[in-house]
Amino acid sequence: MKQRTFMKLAGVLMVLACFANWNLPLQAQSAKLADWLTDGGDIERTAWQKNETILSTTSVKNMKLLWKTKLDNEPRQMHNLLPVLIASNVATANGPKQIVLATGVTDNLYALDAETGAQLWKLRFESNWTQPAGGRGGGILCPGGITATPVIGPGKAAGEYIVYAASWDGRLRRVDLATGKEIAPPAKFMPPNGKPYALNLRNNVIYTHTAQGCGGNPNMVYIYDLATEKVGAWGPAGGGMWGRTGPAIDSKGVMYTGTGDGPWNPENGVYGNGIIGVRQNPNTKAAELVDYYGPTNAEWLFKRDLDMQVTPAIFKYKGKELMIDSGKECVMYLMDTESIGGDDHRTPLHRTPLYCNEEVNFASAGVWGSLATWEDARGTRWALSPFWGPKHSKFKAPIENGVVKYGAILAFKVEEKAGKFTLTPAWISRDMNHAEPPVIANGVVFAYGSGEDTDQAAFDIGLAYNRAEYRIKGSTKAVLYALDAQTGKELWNSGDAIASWNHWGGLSIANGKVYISTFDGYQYCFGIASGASQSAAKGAR
Amino acid sequence: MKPMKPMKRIITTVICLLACVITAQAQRGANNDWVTENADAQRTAAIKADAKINKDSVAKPGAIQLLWKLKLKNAPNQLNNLTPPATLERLIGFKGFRMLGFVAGSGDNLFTIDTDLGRMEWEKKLNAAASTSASTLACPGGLTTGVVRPTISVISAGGGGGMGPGRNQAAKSTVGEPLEGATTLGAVRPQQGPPPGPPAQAPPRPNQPPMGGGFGGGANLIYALASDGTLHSMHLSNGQDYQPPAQFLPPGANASGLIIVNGKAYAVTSQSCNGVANGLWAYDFESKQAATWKGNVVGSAGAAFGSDGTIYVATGAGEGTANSIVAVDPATLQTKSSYSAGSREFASTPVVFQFNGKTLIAATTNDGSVHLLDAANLSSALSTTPASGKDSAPGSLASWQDASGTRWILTAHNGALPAGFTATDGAVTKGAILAWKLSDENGKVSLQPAWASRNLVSPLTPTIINGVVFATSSGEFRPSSNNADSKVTAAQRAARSGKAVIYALDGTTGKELWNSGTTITSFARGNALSGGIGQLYLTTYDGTIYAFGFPLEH
Repeated sequence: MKQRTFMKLAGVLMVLACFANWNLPLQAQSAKLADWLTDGGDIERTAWQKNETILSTTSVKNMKLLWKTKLDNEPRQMHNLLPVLIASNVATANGPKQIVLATGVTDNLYALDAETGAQLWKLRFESNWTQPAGGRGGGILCPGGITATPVIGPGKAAGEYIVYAASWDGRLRRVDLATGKEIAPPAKFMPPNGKPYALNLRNNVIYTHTAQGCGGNPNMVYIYDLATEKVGAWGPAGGGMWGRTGPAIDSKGVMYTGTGDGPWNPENGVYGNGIIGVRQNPNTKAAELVDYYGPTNAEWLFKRDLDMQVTPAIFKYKGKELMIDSGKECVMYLMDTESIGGDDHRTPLHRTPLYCNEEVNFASAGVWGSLATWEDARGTRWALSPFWGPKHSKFKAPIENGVVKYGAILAFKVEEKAGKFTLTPAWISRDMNHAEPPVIANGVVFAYGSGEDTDQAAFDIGLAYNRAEYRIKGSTKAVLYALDAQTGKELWNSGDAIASWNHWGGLSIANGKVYISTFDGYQYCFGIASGASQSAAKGAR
Repeated sequence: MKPMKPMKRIITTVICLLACVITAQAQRGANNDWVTENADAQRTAAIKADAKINKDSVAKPGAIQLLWKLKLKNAPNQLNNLTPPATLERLIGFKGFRMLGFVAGSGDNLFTIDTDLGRMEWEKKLNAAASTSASTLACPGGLTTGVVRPTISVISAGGGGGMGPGRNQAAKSTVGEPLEGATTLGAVRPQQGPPPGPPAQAPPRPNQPPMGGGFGGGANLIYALASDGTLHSMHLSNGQDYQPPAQFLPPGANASGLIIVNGKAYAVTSQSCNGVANGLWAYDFESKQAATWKGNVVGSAGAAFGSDGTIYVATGAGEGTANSIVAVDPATLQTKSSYSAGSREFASTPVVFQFNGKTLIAATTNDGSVHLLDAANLSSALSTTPASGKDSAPGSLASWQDASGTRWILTAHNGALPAGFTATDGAVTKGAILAWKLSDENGKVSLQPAWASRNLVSPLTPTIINGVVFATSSGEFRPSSNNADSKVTAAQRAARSGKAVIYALDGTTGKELWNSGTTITSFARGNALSGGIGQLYLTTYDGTIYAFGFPLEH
């Protein structure tokens, strides 16, 4: 009797489970569609897709390659396609569409149909600026072309979106996402041939920063006020502000970024190897420094080229607006945006021990790119860091998912005890070949090993190794992973579906689909198939 | 072969010239590195500039500390154990940015240390044929001269380094006019002339020269002379051979003062160990040929070099040009000219320096007299100081110039103070550092006693870093040559030796600024301790290397 009851119950559960699984796309279609309008998902650069309903810890095992589209962008150095942006309900001549906006380094924008990967339009920015002959810039660090992921802002009507991009000639472009047409003349923004990082948009103001002195230009913060067409600037700062996902912005409109390597000497206005907060002056529109933090070991960081070069992430926690950041050294800093370095500008709320880069390497180790943060249903706030190279031998996490040799994702819990805020290690993922910044959706962490050869020096020829010719040869292929965000346990991976590697790429996620691009010019879309996606998936295979 | 177009040829030529300049700068040790015995090709034992070490910083109580010490796996040969490290301020290597020290051990061992962390970067035992000759105090065998980095003979003004453009500029806040973009657009210069051509394709890696690139990257090789006389060239990032070892000297020689200068290797042999002729040896990397200038070359730091590459050696009694300072042509190893001290044997390696537009040379005879010469005319000495006593002379000198232009000569004197000197701190019975000033009165150049340090036991050649003299009381028991103690064995000498102490002295007064106290637990021997870039390194008989300096939070 007991057995029969159990069998009945199991049968009902199985039917419910099958129904739930089959019905996921339908549920998603009826739910509010999600967007990914800026690099890192939001202005705080949390990399957290809060509106995901399709992908979950139970459904991701059904993920597969839905489509891949080869774009005709010409690579420069090791760069090709930047992270995509996603607008889910764009009013087009053919009705509402979910559009994926891809950016090619060679001044190209592409609109793709999220369901099929079909190219809807392509725009190549025309320019009267004379680019250096040979199609090469100043090496891998200064590839030329578009280096900043654009940002999408609202248009005047529902379903209208404006793409803001900084083209190679340093001008601000405004493009109708539905048609690919420029809706305003290009506007002077910053010097040409620089290296701006992912644009951010808040209250009709565009924020970015530059690095590497590309084109002979200083490393600056740039703030474009769309209402007055004035551009504020602040800098230079260190070796450049090169958090790949651009600046993070808090609720007061302060943008934060790490300053790259350089001396820390704030008494004389020099802010290398630190974190700066810059805000637009509401009256003059100038970019003004409002806060800064320098680690107490900034001299060491400078000496060893351990740049503070990661895009921070900002979040609310227990009534405070906190920020996390990291760098090549491989520690994570927890800061209060009220005063990121405390009274002496050298004391964050918490500084973790080293969790990687025991070798003290300036390349192929440490934290690169950006961080991520999310809050689970129980109110636990998580802080995630990608890292390259092995885990530090003295760093332990309660859950470790195998030996880490080439990189991994590390998760901390943000905790507060008696008014003291800390980052408590939670889990470390499996090994990934150069783990790149993760994104989070509905309890699932998506991360990938880029497969890139990130070495910049060789034992015999030193820095002369840092050429695209060598590093492209040394790169392999990317693998996308889905991890349980509570434990880091691997739930799914893309296997050998991705045939190339990427540099300067990144993940984007919305509506059951995860996007990744590769150096060979392919845009990949992984997800759970439904309708048109199923057809596209057949084509992709 | 297709001829180059004129413009391409010009560009190629400019690139090559630039590369040569960059290479020369890097090899010069522009970042104040210690690249060979007594720092540089002139054997000055001086580092001209240092961002951290100065008279004020050193004198601050507790500022200089023991940063780390490492016991290295090397057994002494007689009294020889570790050489002072050659240094490299910054390697941008495949493991990261590194500040390195390269130490040689008498057992044909090489140790490369990350000197920021006191962490072994790599270590290696040179593959050398086993010695067949017996080891004695005079001919200890094993590796006898330090590991070195390439340098050039041009006398450096010192300083250098830097951090690249823009990194040290004050940040400022600006705003541009509407539709005019950022104010930085105003600084953009219009592109002039034809756009630059594409960069050269990366050549195949095996043919790449062993140079770094960017950020002031320097020559990426180190050299060591193994006990079997083979010269090893290695990538300094990991010790891997750059070329197969070359036979430079016969096996078993007592070599000193290895230096790679102006593209050739030089070393001095003495004591006729294993039957190897005494003299100056040169190795040409292009022809792969070794040549010899024979003579009883003395001193502990080998040969010194003038800015024009002329080699200066000091000799004692015996074969060849005896009791002389000899100028040797670097290309032919032929004697160019010489100065004779008559019956007085020289004891020290010469030190070469610039003074009032002239290249001068100083060396001591074994009675402690300092002979000052004009390199342009070796027929007679510009000045000689009175003798200070038998066995009082050091194996090498040191020299530096202070900010006011005063040129100083320093010697590590053994025994009581000679006439003309007054101790700055207590009686001197064992030894001291003696400092002379050069004076030029109506064209007559002479050496004037300036100061003497506190009492020091068997002092090493002093090291000068940015105006601070680091004097080492080595603690070594050194028997007098006419004393019955001269027969004692190395083990007995080691047992009778004490402990080394390093003293930091004001370079212009000799006043003590700091000392290492009882930190060092063995005695030291050899040439000047090495240092620079905020640190100083002493190696001791027990196989330990000590690093002192200013702590840096990691």
